[in-house]
Amino acid sequence: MALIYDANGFNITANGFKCNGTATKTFDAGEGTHAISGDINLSSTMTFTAGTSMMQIKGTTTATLTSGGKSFYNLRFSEHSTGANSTITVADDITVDNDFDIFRAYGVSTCKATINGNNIYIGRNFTTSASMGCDGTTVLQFNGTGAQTWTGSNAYGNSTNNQVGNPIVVNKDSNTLTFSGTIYTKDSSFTFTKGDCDFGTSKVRFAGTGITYTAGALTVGTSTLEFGSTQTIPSGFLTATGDLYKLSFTEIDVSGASPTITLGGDITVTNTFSTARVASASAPTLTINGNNLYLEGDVSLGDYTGLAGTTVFQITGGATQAISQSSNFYDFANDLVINKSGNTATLSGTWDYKTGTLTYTAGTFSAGTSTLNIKGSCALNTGGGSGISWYNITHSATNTTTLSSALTSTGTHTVSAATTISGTQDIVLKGNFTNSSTFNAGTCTVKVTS
Amino acid sequence: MTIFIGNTTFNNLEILAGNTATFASSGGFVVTGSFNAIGSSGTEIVMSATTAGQRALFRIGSSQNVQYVVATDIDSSIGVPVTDMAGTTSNTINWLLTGTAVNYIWTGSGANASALLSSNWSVLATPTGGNSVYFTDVGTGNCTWDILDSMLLLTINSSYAGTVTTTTRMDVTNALTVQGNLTVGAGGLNAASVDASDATAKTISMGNGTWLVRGNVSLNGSSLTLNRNGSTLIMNANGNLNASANTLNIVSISNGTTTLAGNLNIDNKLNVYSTLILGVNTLTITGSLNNAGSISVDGSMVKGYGSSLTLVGNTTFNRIELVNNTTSNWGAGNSFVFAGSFNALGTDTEGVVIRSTVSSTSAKFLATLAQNIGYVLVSDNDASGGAIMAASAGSLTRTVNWYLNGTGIVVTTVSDIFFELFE
Repeated sequence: MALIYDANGFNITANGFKCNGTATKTFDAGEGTHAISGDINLSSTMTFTAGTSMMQIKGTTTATLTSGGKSFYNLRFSEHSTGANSTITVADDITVDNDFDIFRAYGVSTCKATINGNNIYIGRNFTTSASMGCDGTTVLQFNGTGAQTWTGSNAYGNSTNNQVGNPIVVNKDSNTLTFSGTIYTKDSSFTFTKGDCDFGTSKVRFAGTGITYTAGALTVGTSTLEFGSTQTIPSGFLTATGDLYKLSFTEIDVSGASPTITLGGDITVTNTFSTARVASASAPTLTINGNNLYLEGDVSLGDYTGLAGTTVFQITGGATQAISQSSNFYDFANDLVINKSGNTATLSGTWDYKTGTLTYTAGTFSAGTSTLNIKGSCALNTGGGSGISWYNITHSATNTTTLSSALTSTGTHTVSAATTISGTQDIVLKGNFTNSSTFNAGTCTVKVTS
Repeated sequence: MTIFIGNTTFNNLEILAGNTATFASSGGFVVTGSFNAIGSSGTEIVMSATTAGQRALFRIGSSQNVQYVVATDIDSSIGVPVTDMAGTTSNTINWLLTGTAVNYIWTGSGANASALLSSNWSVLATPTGGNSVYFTDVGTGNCTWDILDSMLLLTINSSYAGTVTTTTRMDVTNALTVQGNLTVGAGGLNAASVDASDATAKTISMGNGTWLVRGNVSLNGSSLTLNRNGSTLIMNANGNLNASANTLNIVSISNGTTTLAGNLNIDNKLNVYSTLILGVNTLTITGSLNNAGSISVDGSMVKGYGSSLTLVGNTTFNRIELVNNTTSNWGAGNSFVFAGSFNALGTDTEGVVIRSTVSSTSAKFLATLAQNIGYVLVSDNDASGGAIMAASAGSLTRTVNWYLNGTGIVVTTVSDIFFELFE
């Protein structure tokens, strides 16, 4: 007996969709949207015509999706009406010829779908709605031959329910995957096997176990790339992207663990570099190791207890730059180089400097009315008379400050914690000097001038 | 302008020309290395305290180069004096305006203590004429002063633990400040002034040479041990002399006016060739007074002691006291006026001898009735110009206007006097 279901002109709403057994079955999905609040189980022996339909798992907390080797046209995982999280088991590899999306209807509480098992091959676009995320073991693979777009939304901030936690693979033989909107990945891997990607104007966070890059042209456009967990940014990825436009290191871990990000090569950021922290995360120290970070745009550090590591931060380029730390950022401990080819880098607020070496090489650096707040033993080579004139300098924690050139202040040079000066250099005062602790001048010369 | 707040020790401190540095009045600031404040005419450096009239403590160490500094309310009393070559000071302590000079700090600590040894000095050169020399705690060793040149200033600071011993004349154009130990050899010294008035414990041996001083002499430090030796102090210009509690050997008031700023004890000779103003002080002499100039006595007291007190030259005294057991010789033909009182009160065992330097040639006394005279042996004295000299006991030989209350014994020699009076 043959069973034929022609859904052309219909939308199916059912608690389950199961086509198995020995009978010959044909399901023509037509152009409708078929919302199944349970399992979808297609038999490998049946005939399934996807048409331009959307197969949708919706309104259930658990479901199993079995394609039986059939390709879907559009596939959607929707929210439970109560906003409860759902778990969807992908029983075999799923091919979506057109679009796949994670969808939450307006008015439903934030939630996520945990998608486990096998792969979902996405032929065209992938979209996540505002405040509905996904995670799980299912690998989301972009392998369409045509142009594809991954669109994310950040309508509800950094919530876990607004992130994509499944492994991602880009494996395209042709055309380009374009990233759009705000895309937050988490917890898992991101693999560029082949295929071109254009980050366009998007904001993409790599916050899983790290990036694996093999091939593909990567265009950064005016995007913001974020890195938010312990990982190594591979050199191949950096080579493929070239200079980054905006770069942010964003703490997402709520456990308080201190992440380490290792640079596989030098990174040049032509626009803004920032650090940030999701609202619920702790504020640990971020360690950034390896190579150089050439910062040609504004630098805005916030939300971390501090930065540490071996990466050398270089304020460089020929553009006007604004340099700042927010009031909830503390303890910059990497090496810092000022080496500009033009225009002026202007520091505002308080720049906490804990350890490392701060070197002036070239360019114009304006301290404005800022404060260099020395919070640990560090080395300063700020260029003497032709280098940096700081406004305020404060030694606020026990420190040995090693000078290899004159240290100049035009505001107030304050010693509020035990301070030892090392190096036969000048401390040039164009403003005041206040000592409320212990000042060991070593072999330096304090010079009063104007 | 730079304001320094909080006690701070600097290594080197440099204030550039034309700048103003203000130091907290309540703070203490120490420069252990070099202090350089080199202004110039028109671009002076201003140093002051945060509160007018309340000095900031500012101590400098081993080296300095200070020029054209306008210093106000700065106290550098501890440490090396600040020597400003061309500045001004107001309410400062231990700031000196020196003119152009280089400062040499004694660094010697080795076996070779010669001041001629360049390595014994902070600038690794031997001080030459016109420069300033400081002995501080930077150099711990003794110094043999064997330099012939005249220093601009020479300061033996209170922090110096050694002894400076001269083998040549110590020549200082301006002030010689002695807050540490100084042993002067036979060559003596020559200075515009000598100041050993501070309270630091120290010993000064004046030696057997001449101290030629052209200004003030202060040998009155409260913890000063002064060995006068066979020295001669020549006051060679206007100045004050204060050697209270100490005794000098020979003092000559040679030029200008010397004003006593304290009591003066001389156990050998006081020569007055110009003017000596005694003020209200007490001049005690056990040697001789040779007055070839003038002595302004005011409210002073002169005490005479010893077996061979000699007073020569017309002199007016205010009050004079010849203590018992004194043998006084008064210049033959000289006139001695006692405007205040005349006391010469011996005892029955220790009388007072008053006689002329030339037997049978009288010295002349003009006294008032304010007198207390007893147990005296007076000879060759003419007191006719004043009040009657009335002695309660003693003897009178070739005297005029002397009156003896008791029984006199006429004798002619000193040895006879005591033999016959008291035996």
